[in-house]
Amino acid sequence: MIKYTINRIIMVPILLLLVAFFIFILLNLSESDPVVLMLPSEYTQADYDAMEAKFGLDKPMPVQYFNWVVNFVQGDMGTSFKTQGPVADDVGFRIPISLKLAFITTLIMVILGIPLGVMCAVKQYTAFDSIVNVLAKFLGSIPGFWLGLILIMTFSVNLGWFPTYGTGTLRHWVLPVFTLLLPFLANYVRQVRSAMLDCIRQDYIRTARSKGAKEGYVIFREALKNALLPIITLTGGIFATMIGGAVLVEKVFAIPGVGFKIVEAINSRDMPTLLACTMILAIFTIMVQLIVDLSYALVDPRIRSSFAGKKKRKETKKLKEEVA
Amino acid sequence: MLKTEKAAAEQLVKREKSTKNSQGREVWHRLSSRPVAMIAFVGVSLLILIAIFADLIVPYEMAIKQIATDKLMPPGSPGHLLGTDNFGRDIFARIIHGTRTALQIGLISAASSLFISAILASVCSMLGGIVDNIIMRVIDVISCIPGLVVALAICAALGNGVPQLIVALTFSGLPMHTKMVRSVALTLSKMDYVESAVALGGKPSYIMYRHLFPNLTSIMIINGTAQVSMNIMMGATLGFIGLGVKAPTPEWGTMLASGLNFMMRNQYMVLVPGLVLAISALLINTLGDCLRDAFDPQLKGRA
Amino acid sequence: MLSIRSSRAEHRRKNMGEKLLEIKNLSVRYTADKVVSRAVNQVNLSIDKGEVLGLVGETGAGKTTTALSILGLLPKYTSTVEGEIIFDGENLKGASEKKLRSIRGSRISMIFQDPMTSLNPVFRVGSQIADVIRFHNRNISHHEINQRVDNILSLVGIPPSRKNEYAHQFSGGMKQRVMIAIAIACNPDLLIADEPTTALDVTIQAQVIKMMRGLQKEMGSSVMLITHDLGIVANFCDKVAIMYAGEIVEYGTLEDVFDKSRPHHPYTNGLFNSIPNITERTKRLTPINGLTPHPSELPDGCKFHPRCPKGSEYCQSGDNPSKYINGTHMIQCHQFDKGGAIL
Repeated sequence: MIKYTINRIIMVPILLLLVAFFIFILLNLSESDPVVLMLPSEYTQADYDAMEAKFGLDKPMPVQYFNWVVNFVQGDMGTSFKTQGPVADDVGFRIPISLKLAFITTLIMVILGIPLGVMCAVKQYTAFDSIVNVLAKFLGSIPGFWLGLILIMTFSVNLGWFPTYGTGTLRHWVLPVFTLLLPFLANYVRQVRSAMLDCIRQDYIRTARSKGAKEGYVIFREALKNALLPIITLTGGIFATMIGGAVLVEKVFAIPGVGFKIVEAINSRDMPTLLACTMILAIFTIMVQLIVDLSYALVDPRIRSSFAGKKKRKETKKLKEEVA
Repeated sequence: MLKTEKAAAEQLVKREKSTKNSQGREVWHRLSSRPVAMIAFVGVSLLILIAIFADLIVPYEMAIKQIATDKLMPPGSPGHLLGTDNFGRDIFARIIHGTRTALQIGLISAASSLFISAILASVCSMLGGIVDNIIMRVIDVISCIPGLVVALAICAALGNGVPQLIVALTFSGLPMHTKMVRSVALTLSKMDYVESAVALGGKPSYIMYRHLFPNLTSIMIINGTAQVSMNIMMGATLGFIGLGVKAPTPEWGTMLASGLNFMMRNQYMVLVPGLVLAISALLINTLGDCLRDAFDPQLKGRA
Repeated sequence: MLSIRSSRAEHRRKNMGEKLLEIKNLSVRYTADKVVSRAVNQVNLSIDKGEVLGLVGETGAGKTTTALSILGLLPKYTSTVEGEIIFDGENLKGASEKKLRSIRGSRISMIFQDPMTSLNPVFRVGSQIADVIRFHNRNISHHEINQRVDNILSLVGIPPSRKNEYAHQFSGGMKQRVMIAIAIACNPDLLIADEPTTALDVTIQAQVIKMMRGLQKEMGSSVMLITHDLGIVANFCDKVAIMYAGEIVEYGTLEDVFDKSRPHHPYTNGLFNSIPNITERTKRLTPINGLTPHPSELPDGCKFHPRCPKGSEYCQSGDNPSKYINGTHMIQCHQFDKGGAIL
């Protein structure tokens, strides 16, 4: 188990380097010259050369990449093409904002989604299940950013209940969280339902009932613990997506998050900022995946024992043989 | 005695007949027996027809022609069913021709990303070893970045336009599909019926054609349908950000974006394209769900 | 603890021969996608106290459905049950869920066919046994539960030290022992064993059956053994019921059914002719022609007539054949009607 964890953690920097390399290649495909974008509309060749040298863009791509890696390892994320200041200053404060949005939304999604999904599975073939299903299908088909606009139009412009943009008070967060939540929640309920249905149909559920267990015990202990594996994967995946994938919600509600910055950076060909933001997203994605994998082992003893060291496995095997 | 044998033979013939129906016919039969599936099917067919015959419904001219006098007319105005936008372009015409753009983007990108991922996955599962390892590691790297960000970066690199958008969406769908198709192919190749085909001396090409493909097609069609609606949505998203198709081309996402500035007074500019987008996505998603039920009746009602 | 067990067993021995379970006119229908499957049709059965009943039949004959309907464990929305299930004087059909729950696991318990999937993979086996004790004994101390779990595990031949392991760490035979431990944990009056050995190796089958027989003798419980293995039936059962297409076509004591010289239902004959015999050297086995009908398309008249070597036109339409009864022996076949030809 510990060995597996260490192996996974060692892989993280390698993955990150490759992600950065991928972004490097991608942005170098672009025809527009970031140097030109940075210069005033009238410039001399000397200005151009000076600007190019300042950001190290005169060197070939592999050298640029190597320099970036060396700097990044030392904690220097480079200088933004756009603001001409350190990227860290421009990006650092955005991380907690994006995290906060993703975390609150995921939390609400779990709190609402798991009971709803479980209820649907238990009440399969009833009106409740059909209604939730149809609703989920409808909500899942609504584009998130459009929903945001509609909500702004209704609740901010027409009714004036909530502010349209910003992050100041709790009221600022209601609409963005709701906008981000709904499409994800719709999908989440359906997935939780199907995971639960898979478990409810298993033989061990029949065994539990034949033992005289109460229905609540059967569903929430015996079935839900088995359904947790796919639910954890799903929740982790959605959380990771939300950190960076809230691009549109951040744009619509003018929330200064990481996703918002990515769009800006791409539009202005601001390579160092884009790299920094992508790195942040990748780090979170990898971390969430790691946590998901490790929590598998907590939930499922079968996975735990496949992680068990050779020594322990031998002992188990020996014991099995003795008894048999 | 004779009679019983005859009855048994009849029974066998009956069973034989039912298995002779091809999978496609059976799927169609199950699909057509459900009203919801038929509504979705008709709806999606209608979308496709609109996309093909857009020019017959409304000339393309109408969608780009800018009339200074007809700016920002509300829906229901004479000659403009859904009103006009800030440049005086007819919104109805832009929606109709936007359907063409949207379906072009959605269908082509979903199909090509499925096609490429199927090739990659079969290469992975057939060759295995180092090739499999390299391809899957690259996929791992790409899937560390959210799909939308990948698409954004590609769009930024390649510039605006429908072909560029298709490339971006194709690429951003690749990691997920390759992983999924590969895992299904691997599970299939370990199935008893494939092993028995191998044991009977079946050539790899025969096994691929006879056992792997039929089982892969169903999952590819199902996921492909979901991918179409996802890509239409993502295309609109990119258009909304300003990284999608080029300016005058009618596209739902860009229409939404341009409506943003007039949201306070001319709400229909935001409402109409979004509603069309949502209904199209709903139709395609519903069709996808029904297709899944029809392909695998055992799974019915599970998700 | 052991004294309770023996006193209950004593009580049961005293009352041997009394009716424990009586099933009257039980019918079960499944409805899926508007297709109605008649899984069980007008079944009558009874089990005396301390008796072992063998329920024999092919896959899909309705054996498991019958067993599940006793416990009220059939799927709620897709099945309809008719008839009476009288257990110890009370009708379980239509009984409240609470009542059924108090009976499940404590007075009637069930062992399932596939031990691989019937144990919950994410809980320790010990806690799965402890659960059933806890459900049916209020105010029982943690310590006492532990003791009883250890006790039961050693009864089924598992070292109590293994109670902290998970199902995947056990072999198939050991898993079935755990299932048996769960089933007997509350010393039930009736034990339903649904093909308990089908998924096991032959050598393990023998062990498990031997152990079950020992436990049954000791506890004095009644057993309903569902199987398609006639060898096990001959070894273990007092009475035998042969099921075909949701009906009981023959019912009697072990001798009634297994004695070749007595009259039998053609299906029973077919079953016996399908197994090789050591003492008689037969060149070929004689299988039963045709296939079991799907419960959604059962034939008219006698359900067996399309496959019956003795079928006459008489059998093809109309009602079920009447029941031919000779003492403890019941056969449902037209052959034994007054008008029909007798063997």
